[in-house]
Amino acid sequence: MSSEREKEIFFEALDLGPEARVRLLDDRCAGAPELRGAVERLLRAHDLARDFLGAPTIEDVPTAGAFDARPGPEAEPGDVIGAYRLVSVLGEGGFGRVFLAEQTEPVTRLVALKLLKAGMDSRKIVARFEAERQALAVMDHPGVARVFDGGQAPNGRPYFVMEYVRGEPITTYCQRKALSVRERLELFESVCLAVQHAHNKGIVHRDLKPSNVLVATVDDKPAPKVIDFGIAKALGDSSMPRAMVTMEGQMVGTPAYMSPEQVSGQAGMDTRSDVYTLGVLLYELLTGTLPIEPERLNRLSPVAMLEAVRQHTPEKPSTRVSRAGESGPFGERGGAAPRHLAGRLRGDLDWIVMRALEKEPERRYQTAFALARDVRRHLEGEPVEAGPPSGWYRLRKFAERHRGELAAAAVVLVALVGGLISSLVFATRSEHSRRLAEREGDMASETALFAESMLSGLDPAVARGADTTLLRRMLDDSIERLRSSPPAHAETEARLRRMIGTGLFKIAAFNEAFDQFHLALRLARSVLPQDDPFVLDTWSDLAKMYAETSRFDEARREMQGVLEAKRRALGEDDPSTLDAQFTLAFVDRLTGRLEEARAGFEDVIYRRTRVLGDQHKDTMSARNSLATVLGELGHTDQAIELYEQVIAFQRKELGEDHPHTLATMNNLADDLAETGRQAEALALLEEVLAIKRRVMEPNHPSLLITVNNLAGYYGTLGRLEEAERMYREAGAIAEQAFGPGDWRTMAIWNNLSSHLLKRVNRPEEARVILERIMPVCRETLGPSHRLSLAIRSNLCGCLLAANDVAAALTLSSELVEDADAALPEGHPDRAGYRLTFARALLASERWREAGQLLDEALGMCTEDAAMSDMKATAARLLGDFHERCGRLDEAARWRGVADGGTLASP
Amino acid sequence: MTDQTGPQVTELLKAVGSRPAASEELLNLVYDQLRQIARQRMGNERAGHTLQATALVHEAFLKLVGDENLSWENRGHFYAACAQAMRRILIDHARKRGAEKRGGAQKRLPLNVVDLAEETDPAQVLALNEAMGELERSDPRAASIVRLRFFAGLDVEETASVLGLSERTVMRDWAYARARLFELMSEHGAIADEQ
Repeated sequence: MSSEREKEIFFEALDLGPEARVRLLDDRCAGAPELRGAVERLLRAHDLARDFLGAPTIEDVPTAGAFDARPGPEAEPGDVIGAYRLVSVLGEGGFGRVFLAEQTEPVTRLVALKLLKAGMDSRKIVARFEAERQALAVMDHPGVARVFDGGQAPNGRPYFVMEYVRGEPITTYCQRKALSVRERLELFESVCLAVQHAHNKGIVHRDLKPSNVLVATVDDKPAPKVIDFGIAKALGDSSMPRAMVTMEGQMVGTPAYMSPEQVSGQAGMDTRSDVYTLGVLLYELLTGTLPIEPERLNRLSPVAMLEAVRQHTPEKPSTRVSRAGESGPFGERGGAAPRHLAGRLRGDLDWIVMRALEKEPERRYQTAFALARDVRRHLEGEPVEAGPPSGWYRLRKFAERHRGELAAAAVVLVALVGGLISSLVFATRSEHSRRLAEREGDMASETALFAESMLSGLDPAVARGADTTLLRRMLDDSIERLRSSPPAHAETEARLRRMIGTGLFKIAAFNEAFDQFHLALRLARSVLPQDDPFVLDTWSDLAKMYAETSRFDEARREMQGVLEAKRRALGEDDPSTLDAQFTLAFVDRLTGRLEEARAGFEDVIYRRTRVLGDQHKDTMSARNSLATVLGELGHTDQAIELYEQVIAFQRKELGEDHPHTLATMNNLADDLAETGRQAEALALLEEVLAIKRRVMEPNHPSLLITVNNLAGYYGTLGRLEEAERMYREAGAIAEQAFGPGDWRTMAIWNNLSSHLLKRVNRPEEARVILERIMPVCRETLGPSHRLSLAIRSNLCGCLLAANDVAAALTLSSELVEDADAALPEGHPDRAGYRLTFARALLASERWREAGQLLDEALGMCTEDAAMSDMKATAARLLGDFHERCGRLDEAARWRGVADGGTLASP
Repeated sequence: MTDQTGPQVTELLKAVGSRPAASEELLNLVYDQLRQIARQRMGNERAGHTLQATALVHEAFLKLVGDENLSWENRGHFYAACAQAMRRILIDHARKRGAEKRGGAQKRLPLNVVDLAEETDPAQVLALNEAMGELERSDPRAASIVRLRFFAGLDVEETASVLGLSERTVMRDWAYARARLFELMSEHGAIADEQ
């Protein structure tokens, strides 16, 4: 039963953070959207059901076994431990007591000696300390307190000996001296640099907190020193969360300083955990409060407390101080009224702190140094690297770098999803806030519409080469937010998800876009009438994503559904209906249903001309697509005529360097070449490539079409190495941009194989590539797709080169059948694949059949220029055939025809 | 303080396995006792006070079993009966109140605590009951955990002992059951705010 599986995945996901959950679902539910939906619903319900049924999920933490219930006799001043005589008690903490001690051997000095409580696992602690000792010994920084020694006291308790620091906790110091914001930041910067020093030596602190950052005044200046490096590690990281609970169930530390990953007890905790803690410290220095307020935490059970650290996003420092309404940490001498202080913190400092406090280590400053550097930037009045976690600032900078639609859309999108959702989520508790949520829900819908229109200006083709990582992150953030705190109204969520899906589509993240549209559609259908324009449009988006992800059968089925629904709801001539019809024809073309595609496009052109006008861009776009189909059907002359119309329009309306103009020029070049107008084709393509190289990033996938096509020409011109290099370039780009199973990628690899086989004579290499892509291609596109046919034909060539005649025969006879089924009468490839078969027959010395087939193929060749090559090949093969049969005159005659044929090529 | 029903309950608990009628008698006994306690409590307290299942069951235990030494198995029988009785009480109460306020606008509140307080929407209690029915069909073990944890107010450790499961299994199934119930109730519109 599937619910077993759901439950299993649900349990796995429970232990994971949000991003890891997504990865898990991607993995476990691949190809099973229903299952995924079910698990997602469960997880969402779980997150929402936090207080549901009155008890937290896991309220019973096993009381920490790390502590022994029986305290031993306490050490007293005057006692001697090793080379140290205890002088006085400096402090008492959760783990034990800290003494001021006097060392006599080998030097006389005062040290701090930390003696742990009874009952901790001494042997392990000491062993871990020994392991760390070497690293601790090489630390040498004025901001880092030295760790001298460690061992076991006579009563078996572990102890550590450290440099004695005459200072007070950094927070107390700042408070007492009433340091200004700037002074605090400068102090904090030195702390970061000290921590960085330890990190450089491979030591993570793991327990940074004000009492471990002591400040003394040296030469009238504050001198911070971080103590206890290496101690937390020695105490053992696995014991950290549990160790907080003493035998009485009291908290000895506060998780407020612990990073989410530390709280989760994750392995692989690294220096970025300290960066988080530094963020907490900075928060405290600037606001006088902790990001997650202890009053709030203390009300929670230990486990809920840990959960809060993992999940709760603290308010920004500026918000905190203005809410607190007091003078904050600065006291009277700081002279900062809350409003003034809030203003000081808003912007840079908020961002720096929030960046350091990101839940995911990857999103934080990657080093303490980077944090220090941003603090310094702020102090110097330079723009800081951190922006708000998903906010305007970075977007604004992004927008400055990438002027234009992409950035504008991103800004709007993020503002929407970020701002609105977060305000929506908090408003779910009371009657009053529900009304608020409803109003904002309406607002969200309206603004979502607006964002949709913003995004509509974008083009995945344009975005592909651009730096879309930021937008991508924003979109992922938005999804995460929707997941963890869905809006109150299904329609709102549907609109937001469609918007995010559109964003993802625009940056060519098709699989991810698919998921969003899928969810949006399901939500929309649950609350809106089935013929609501939003439902229909979302449905159509989803169908397009099927096509973009090479699931053409589904794409076609869904698109047919959309088209019928739109015709019913809007009429046959509605532009939106025509869009659906256009897309369906497009899918038909991709699945090799060329005649259906042709009819579809012709009908769309007819209707759009009537409704929108002859020179409307949508009419032209349909002409462009029709031309492509005509080309594929072998009606190249008609295609060329259409392309020329379209290009003239595009040059005028869009400009010559617009991606659409360039795409059409590409297509035209293709057809020119097919009709033997090689020189024109080549000139056109070189022009296109020059423009693309000028306006696009070097790895822009749109370049690949041109590179691929040019490679073909260079190949025919004998510029073989150039051709191969360009094919490989295009293939690599395609594989990266579309994936290895995408038809565009496979088409390029097929071209490369053909080149290797026919021109360079390296059939073994070609065969390896073809055997790799053939099954994929059959699987995704079907056996009668043009590409499927071409790949098999080339593979036949490879097999013959390797003298694997039997395999070649089987493959090529099948090929002819499939080609006849798929291609219309008179299509040149029908003749072409007969030649492939004939070659195999010749190789297996089945002369008579070969001869018949060649005659048949030749009979299919028209006077069309596009067929001249094929004719020549057929003639040459016939020459071979006659020679084999001993008819040398006949052979010579056919070879003459063949030579005549090849003259047509440049 | 043990009242005269003490020995009777203990006898019943021991007989549950062997004498089918015993569990029915036990349930009736527990049900009456719980209702009685609830009525007293509700009468004494000001309006709006909530009664937690845990407290009721605890008190019933004291009254019915007292300080007798019970095996975990027998404790299990007792709590199972309590859970069933509590559920019945909650539903009766909800039905009754649902009938009283028929015709009024449906008020939907977050179902954080299902209790006998006046604010609780009876529809939610009924929806929970319905959802429980569904969970009992699809995942009997998870459902039995909910009965003990929620209706009888046992903690994880006690639940684990009663059912002979590991604590980890109880915690996980509990998390699953809550999510599933929450989802079912959301689907039925019983938890309007949190969708």
